Amino acid sequence: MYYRPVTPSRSLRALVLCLGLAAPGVLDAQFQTLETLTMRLMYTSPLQSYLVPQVVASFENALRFHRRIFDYDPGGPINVLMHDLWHYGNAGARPVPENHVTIGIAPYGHEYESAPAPERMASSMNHELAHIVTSDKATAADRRWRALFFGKVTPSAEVPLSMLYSYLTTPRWYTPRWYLEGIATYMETWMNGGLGRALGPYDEMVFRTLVRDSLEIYDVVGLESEGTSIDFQTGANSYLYGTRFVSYLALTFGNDSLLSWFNRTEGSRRYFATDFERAFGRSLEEEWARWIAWEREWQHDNLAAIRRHPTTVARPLTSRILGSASRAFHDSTNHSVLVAVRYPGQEAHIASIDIATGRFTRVRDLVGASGLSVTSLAFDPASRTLFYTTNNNEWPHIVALDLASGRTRTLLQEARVADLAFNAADRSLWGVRHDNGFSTLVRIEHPYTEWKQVYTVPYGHDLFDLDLSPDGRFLIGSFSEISGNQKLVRYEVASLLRGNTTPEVLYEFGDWSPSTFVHSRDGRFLFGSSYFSGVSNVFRYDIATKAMDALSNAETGFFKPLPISADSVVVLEYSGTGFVPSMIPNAVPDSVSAINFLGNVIAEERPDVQDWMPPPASEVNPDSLTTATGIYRARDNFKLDNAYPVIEGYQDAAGVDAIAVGMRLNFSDRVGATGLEFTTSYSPDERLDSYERLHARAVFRHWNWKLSAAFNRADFYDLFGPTKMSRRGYALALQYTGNLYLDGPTSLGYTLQAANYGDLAILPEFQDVAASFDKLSAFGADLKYESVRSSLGAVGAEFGTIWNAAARGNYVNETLYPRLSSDLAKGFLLPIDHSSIWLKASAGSALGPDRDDPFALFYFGGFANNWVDYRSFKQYRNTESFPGLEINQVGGATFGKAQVEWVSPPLRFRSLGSPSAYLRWAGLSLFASGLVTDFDDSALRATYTSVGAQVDIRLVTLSNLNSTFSFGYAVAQGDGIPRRSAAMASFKIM
Amino acid sequence: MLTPEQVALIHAEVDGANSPEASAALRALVERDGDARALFEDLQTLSALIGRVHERAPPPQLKQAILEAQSPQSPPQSLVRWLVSPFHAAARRMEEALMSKKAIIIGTTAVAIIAVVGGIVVGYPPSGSESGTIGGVQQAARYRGRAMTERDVTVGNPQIAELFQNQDVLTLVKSEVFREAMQNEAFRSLQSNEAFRELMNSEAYRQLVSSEAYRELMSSEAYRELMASEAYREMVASEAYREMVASDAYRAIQNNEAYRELMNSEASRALMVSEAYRELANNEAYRALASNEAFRALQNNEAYRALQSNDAYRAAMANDAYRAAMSSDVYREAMANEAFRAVMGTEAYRAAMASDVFRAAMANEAFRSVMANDAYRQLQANEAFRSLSRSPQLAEAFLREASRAVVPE
Repeated sequence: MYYRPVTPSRSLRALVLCLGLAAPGVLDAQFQTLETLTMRLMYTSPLQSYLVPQVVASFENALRFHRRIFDYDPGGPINVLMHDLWHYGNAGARPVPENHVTIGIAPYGHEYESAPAPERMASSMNHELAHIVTSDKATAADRRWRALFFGKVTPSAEVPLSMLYSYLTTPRWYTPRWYLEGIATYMETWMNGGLGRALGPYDEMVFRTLVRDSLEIYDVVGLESEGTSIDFQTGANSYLYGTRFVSYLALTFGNDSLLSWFNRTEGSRRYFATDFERAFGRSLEEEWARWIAWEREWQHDNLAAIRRHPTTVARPLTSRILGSASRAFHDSTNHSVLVAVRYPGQEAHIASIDIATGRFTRVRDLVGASGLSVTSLAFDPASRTLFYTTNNNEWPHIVALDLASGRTRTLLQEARVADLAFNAADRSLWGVRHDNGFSTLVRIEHPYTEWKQVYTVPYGHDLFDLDLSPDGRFLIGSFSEISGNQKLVRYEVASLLRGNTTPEVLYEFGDWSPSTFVHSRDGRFLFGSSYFSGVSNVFRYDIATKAMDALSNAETGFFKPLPISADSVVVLEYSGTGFVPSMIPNAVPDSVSAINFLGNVIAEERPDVQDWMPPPASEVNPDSLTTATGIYRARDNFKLDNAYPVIEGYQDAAGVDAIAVGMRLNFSDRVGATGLEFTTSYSPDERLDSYERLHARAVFRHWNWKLSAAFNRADFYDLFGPTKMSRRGYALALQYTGNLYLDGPTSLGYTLQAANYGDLAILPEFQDVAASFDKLSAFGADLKYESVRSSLGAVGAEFGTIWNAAARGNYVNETLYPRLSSDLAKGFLLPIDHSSIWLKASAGSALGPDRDDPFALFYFGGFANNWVDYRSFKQYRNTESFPGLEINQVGGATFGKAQVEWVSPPLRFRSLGSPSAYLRWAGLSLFASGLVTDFDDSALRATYTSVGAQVDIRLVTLSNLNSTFSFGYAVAQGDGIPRRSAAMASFKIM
Repeated sequence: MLTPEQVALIHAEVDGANSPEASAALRALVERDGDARALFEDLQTLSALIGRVHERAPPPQLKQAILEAQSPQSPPQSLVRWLVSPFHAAARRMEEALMSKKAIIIGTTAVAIIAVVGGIVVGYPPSGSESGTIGGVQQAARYRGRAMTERDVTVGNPQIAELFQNQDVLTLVKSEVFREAMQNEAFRSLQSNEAFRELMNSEAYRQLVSSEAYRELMSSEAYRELMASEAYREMVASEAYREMVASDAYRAIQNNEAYRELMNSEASRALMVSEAYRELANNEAYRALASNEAFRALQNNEAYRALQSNDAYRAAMANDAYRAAMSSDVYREAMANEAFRAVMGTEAYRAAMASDVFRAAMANEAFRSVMANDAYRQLQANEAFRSLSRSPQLAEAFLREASRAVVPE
């Protein structure tokens, strides 16, 4: 299970799409609520109501356990937001500004057995509430800060001081991901009765492989600076390392010592690394190094156990490491293997690998690849059509690719079907559809215009990894139960379609998932993999004799077997850098020894974990706990989150810089769709006009709407400049943002805005440009198409298309000054990993009557970065930027601009710093720009050119705070402007 | 009731112990005797099931626990009887033949069941999950605590939520007609009407909706026009109509052979569309009908006569859509269809037709639209929906969820 940061924007975008462009009141009304004394549940559809009792009971059960173990009092109800926006189940938690758990109710993925197998609501609650406890529990000092700030503070880039306040109120939130996930996964495993990654074969495999191949096991800094970025498992490394290290600590020091480190009690140190010394008497770095040494020894023992019998040597098909890979298919037409891959540095794609020569050919790029499985793939060899899924992390689409012509066709949009299998007998597609928490076996008849329900698996059970026999008579799959037991099953298709859903159980695998079993070409055998011995080996099942045989004794792990002949089987062999497509013989090895699990030793030597399993959730009566139910209303759930002091800068029209001090108050609802930020400050500086000493700003957001108001707007970053946001006068603006289209990374959105300004001295849009009139009404309309993507391990968007068309208008002194502009940017990923070329073109025209009025013009100049900033550190990409010139130095009623930019691969820092502050990467950008203003007036026309470079360095502090140092240099020249250069230095705090 | 000799014959067949002559006798027996056939099939199933049970040696501690848990007074036979209760039907019959080899096999099964039960009773911690053995492969040991069971899962009416996984249901609940119906009181009342539900759940109705004739009728243009016509609506909403369909005479005539023949006859068709009444008098079937007691009773029935003179009825009879429907081949075949006739002969049908609630619903635009909607028709034929409909609470819950699932404009 992967933790997903609970960011409102992503989920809200999808929610808004799902619920339609309706009035906010209607959107609110789609949320249902149920409250107990300890929980405030909100769910996004009435159809999810059947799950509510299970969610309530699981929550209460898990909370009671955590309260007992950690002596924890949440101090009020914990918010739980339940939704169905993802294809696979997942969940997340955060303690700020309130304790909040988000849970996607879809069934878990079963890829490589990397997720726990038992009933997922209980498992999720066991895990997520561990996050809440370890990040929220407070000492008296923490509570004092919380009282001072009226709550827990969420850091805001607009107010960098909020970072400090946030740390003071919730110090244990500022810990590395491995720390949070490690304890949560550890607790979850033992609360699940041993089912989880602390007793997982996948984790054993990862570290066994690192040791076997003498690869580096990341140190505590390297894991965060590099290990979670460049490794093909990226974020999963946090789980792997965290669980492993926590388990090692439990074994070595006992659970009491382990829990004392995670339990924020009186006497514990605020910073997690410092507190490690208190809990264990040694430094975190030292003990981490000891763990690595211990791990090498442990894995050597396991490797020795495997090597007691001859191991299977796999012959790689290609020298290319695939990263993550999907199920593979044999294309006998050109004797190749078709597989979808995803590795760092390049976009996920479907590839063809020549079995004889190993030649690797990129067939088709893949949008919306998922983490480990990449995509769901099926193949019709007769028509040479590949079926695959896109948008895999959300609601997958089914796409068909004609290999001969290369043409693709989207068959079903948002079908939510994966685990595809092709029936050669009738050309139908079968799959498993996830919807509202259920897995439904569906059949899609040719020509694939609609799916039909065949069988909905009862809640808590799951069916996955389908395959059809060559004659189309039988369907096989893996079936999991509430207990976590799993079996290989078979259905007779004709009987299934008549409604007989009782399968024939071919083999009981118990705890060990039967993975991707497929038919041999003659239909006599089934080939699949399982961690039966603790190592993922290939197995062959003889349908006639019902005999199961191992076909390998792997040192690392073999997966997704593909029988291509009577003698050979293609497998994916796990390596430290990704999966390698390899060939093994279709032969039964001598014997296969089992390995030992670290979790078994913990259960034996630290048996207190055996008491960690809560009683059955059915012993909790949800009805007796319920205090209220109803429809969710934002206005009933709107509250003050926190309030804290602020310092701001203000510059008046005369250029006087003053400091203002004040307060900021933050309000929001429980869902995160409605919020209000109100800031007020005062400048005592007597150089300022008395009118300009009071400052205020309010921003109210409600779903798609935003209402903002300002009076003598001040800004923290104006303390530094050179970009100034502060403006004299008042402003009132209303904005609506919507999406006409939203599909994964592709969107077509629009923004409409209307604003009114008064008592102006400077133009609202362009600093240092005096306003010719002190009142202004402005409107804006933007249409933006965006489809940008990045490869695994990227530091920013690497390729794609962004197009924007904007209409602006200033209405001043009974005169309208409309302006139109458009930008187009196109990025290309180069064959060098993580390196891109971006091409950008912009044009605009003012349509007003007076070309000389400043309200009518476009202005350009400067890098536009502030000395201290919170906006994007690549400001040179903005249309109004022109490095080398001063800010807003040149202007015109019309303009045309072009820019070409090359982005270098980032230089990664493996271990530069300490756990509290380390450098992560550095990147170089080279750019060249050309600008022509007033191109429609030969008398006024002017051209300018600029070349420049910028270096960006990422710094991470307190684990969660990403800052960037930027240094730039540019040379520019143009009509009336001799060559000049400009340097830039900027620190983006968050 | 089977004789002991017959039971023994069946057991011997399952055991493979019969001579060819005995097997032939067995085949004849199961052909003519339903009980014999049921017992034979049950035993075959049981035999196959037992054949797949793997022998597994219980751990030493478990054996001891079982022995300690055994009551010394329990006779083997009653133990067998209790333990095979999951195989309920077969168990009843097996009491009649305990001395057969099958009883020994059942007893062995019973021991296996004891092992499981005993294990739970004495709290023996599972040493690992149940899985097959694979030759040459050492299975990795894995600690397991208490395995989660169905007891760990509490979900509310999952069968309703499961129903929404069906594309026909989804099509229906997303349709405009359903949305209107959900807001319609008459429709909602009908769905919870006892008689209507009984009708929907009857075997006769199930066969009806599965029949080709029904499907063709429902999808025919003539039928759709009929359902949409004002005249028809008024007719079925009229008091006279209600009384007619509630009358015994009406029910009798629906089941009357002569009447059915009449409905199928060419003459009847011609009568509906033109001036073919003359021929009717010469029509054998009609003459037979005219002399039929039930028909005459109907003719004399007050309600029927009232209906004949009812303006709405007469308008309906003259209505083009009605006449087209009545004269269509599809309709005729439907009326001749066994399934249709079976439905119309049921008490539930009569009660439903006669109910005020049904009348109000039939008069309602939204309801009629739903009835004519393909998706709704498919829903009615859906096994899961039908199972759910048997429970008033679940049916109501489904409607509630369906109406809430609709996203408002």
